[in-house]
Amino acid sequence: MSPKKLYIVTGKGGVGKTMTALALVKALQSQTSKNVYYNCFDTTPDKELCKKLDIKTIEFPIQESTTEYIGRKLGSKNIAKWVMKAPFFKALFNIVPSLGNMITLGHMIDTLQNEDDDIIVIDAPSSGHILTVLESPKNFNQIFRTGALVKDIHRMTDFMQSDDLVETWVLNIPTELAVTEGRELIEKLGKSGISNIKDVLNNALFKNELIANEELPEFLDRKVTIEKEVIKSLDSNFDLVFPMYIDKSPIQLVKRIEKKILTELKK
Amino acid sequence: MKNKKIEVFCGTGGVGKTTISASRALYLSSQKRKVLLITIDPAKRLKQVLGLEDSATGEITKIETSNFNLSDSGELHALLLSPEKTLNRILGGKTENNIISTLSKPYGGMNEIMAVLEVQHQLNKNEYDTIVLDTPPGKHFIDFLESSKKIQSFFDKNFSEVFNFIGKRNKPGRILTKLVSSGIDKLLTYLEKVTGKGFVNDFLEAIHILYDHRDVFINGLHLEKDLMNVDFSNWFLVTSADQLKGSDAKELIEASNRFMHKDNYLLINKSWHKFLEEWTTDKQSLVQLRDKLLEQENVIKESTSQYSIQQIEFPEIFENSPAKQVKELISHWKSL
Ligand SMILES: Nc1ncnc2c1ncn2[C@@H]1O[C@H](COP(=O)(O)OP(=O)(O)OP(=O)(O)O)[C@@H](O)[C@H]1O
Ligand SMILES: Nc1ncnc2c1ncn2[C@@H]1O[C@H](COP(=O)(O)OP(=O)(O)OP(=O)(O)O)[C@@H](O)[C@H]1O
Ligand SMILES: [Mg+2]
Ligand SMILES: [Mg+2]
Repeated sequence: MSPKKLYIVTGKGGVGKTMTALALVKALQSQTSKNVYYNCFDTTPDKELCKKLDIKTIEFPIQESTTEYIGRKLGSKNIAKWVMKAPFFKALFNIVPSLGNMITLGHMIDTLQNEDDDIIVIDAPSSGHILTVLESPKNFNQIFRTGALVKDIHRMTDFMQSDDLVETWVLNIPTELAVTEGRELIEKLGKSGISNIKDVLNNALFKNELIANEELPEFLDRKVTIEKEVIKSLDSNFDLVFPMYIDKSPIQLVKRIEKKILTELKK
Repeated sequence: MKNKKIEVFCGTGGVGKTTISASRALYLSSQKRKVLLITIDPAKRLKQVLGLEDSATGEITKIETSNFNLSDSGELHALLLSPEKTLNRILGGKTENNIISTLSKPYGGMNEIMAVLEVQHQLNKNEYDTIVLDTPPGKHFIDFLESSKKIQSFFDKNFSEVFNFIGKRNKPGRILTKLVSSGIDKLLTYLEKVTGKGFVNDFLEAIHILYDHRDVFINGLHLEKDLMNVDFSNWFLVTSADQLKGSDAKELIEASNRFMHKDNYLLINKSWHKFLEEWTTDKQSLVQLRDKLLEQENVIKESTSQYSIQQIEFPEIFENSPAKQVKELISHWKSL
């Protein structure tokens, strides 16, 4: 696979975004010699787990990103530091979190554009909040309208909408709520100009090898039937499917999903 | 379980907050209580669970409880949060201001802030016996909890005096000192350099509109305190037996410790252990499978047993329609 610069892994809550994002970092690491980083957007990564998996994390703390950005705009780091310390400014940032979202995203894109060898995989917030992040450039474009900031915002949207630079993984698990949320998300991402999307089904019990070959007790049989019904009724064609694995220790899960990503993408 | 004014369901992603809170609200209404179920998650899955239309967003809607096999019950209303409608109510109408109207759109980012104001408003109305609250996953729930503080600090009296002064140019000397010491005038000069004059004008207008309604924003903003009051709230930390998320559940318990009291419950959802225990098999590979699954369910119970929190367990319901799942879960509240 020819790697993109930025991967966004999202979907409903609990569908396996964290496990899959980590597995994707591992898969990319084994396919390229570039620096592949794992990022958790506005939450802190599980550093212990990353260390065990030999995964490098990259963070863009809002305070620092903003100081750097404002510093560049005003041509003075000191003024920027002073601005960020002003109580009113702090209060403003707290009450308008999407402003912070946009600056974080902008800093991330800047970094990627300056470092040819960097790739970032974002373990993104779930559906409702990733849309807030991805719509933030559009919203602030409307707010600022003209001026120096708008050019930066356009550079951001151009980057985000490029199919060669960004790939978004929408994860689903085989339940009605998760798959519906996945469909809604793909539609809304499309409206934000994001169309390079991989539609992924995770945690599919019916794809587990042991389960598929055995005489099952009634409740597991029922679960498998339900999963298949859900997928059929919602008429979804997934680009990638990961089974439900029995051993849920995170290291094992990440390794298994990584393997699956590599074999499926070779097809 | 005691009756309270508000019940909060929180937890990491996909553990069943929306499903379980809907079943709880329906159960409470079957106890002849008048209940309002509010979801503050912009993903709005509750609409699918209850069969609501998108157009119901921001409007309190009566739920036909007979659809869930509850005859003879109290009353259940539901509300899918619309940040825009909440703000318009506070401001007394739609605003023309470009900044405010953009930010209060569905994905504008004001969700958690508006959520606190809406929940507070519904509590103040005092029309319901209980409000059941379905929250967004993880960090955004914490954002919600911290919103009262954020609102209070934004509406700091000093800021509003200063901005009033900038607007009206009537200068009592005291304020002038404040203006200089707050640094706001300097801030605005820098802002103008980067954003241009148009934005600064919009910005000042927006601040004025908001500070004009300062009282509505902070009057009665005691949600944070109320939630900590044992006579006022029940907390349900939802976890899922099929998710082994290392530190997440613990982190949430610890983070919410500041906000909680003794009437809280750890709700372990989607448990398989009853089914697993009833499953007899001789086949070695299946015995292993069963034991592994049982072992993993126990890890969750053990890892959280160090916290003095009452545990309740809900089984996985093997149905594909969310409404059917909810229907069955109602009876589990009865048997508690
Ligand atoms: N393929 C899989 N097989 C078995 N279990 C899985 C699989 N994928 C995920 N899980 C289980 O589901 C849990 C949730 O996964 P994960 O933490 O990656 O989800 P998430 O989408 O990041 O959740 P959140 O929305 O809370 O961030 C994992 O801890 C693991 O126990
Ligand atoms: N007891 C249960 N039995 C069977 N399925 C359940 C049960 N509880 C929840 N589910 C299913 O699990 C999935 C997650 O549930 P739900 O959407 O209620 O969780 P949530 O915590 O609100 O998620 P999010 O973090 O995305 O808001 C859904 O597909 C739901 O139908
Ligand atoms: Mg996660
Ligand atoms: Mg939910």
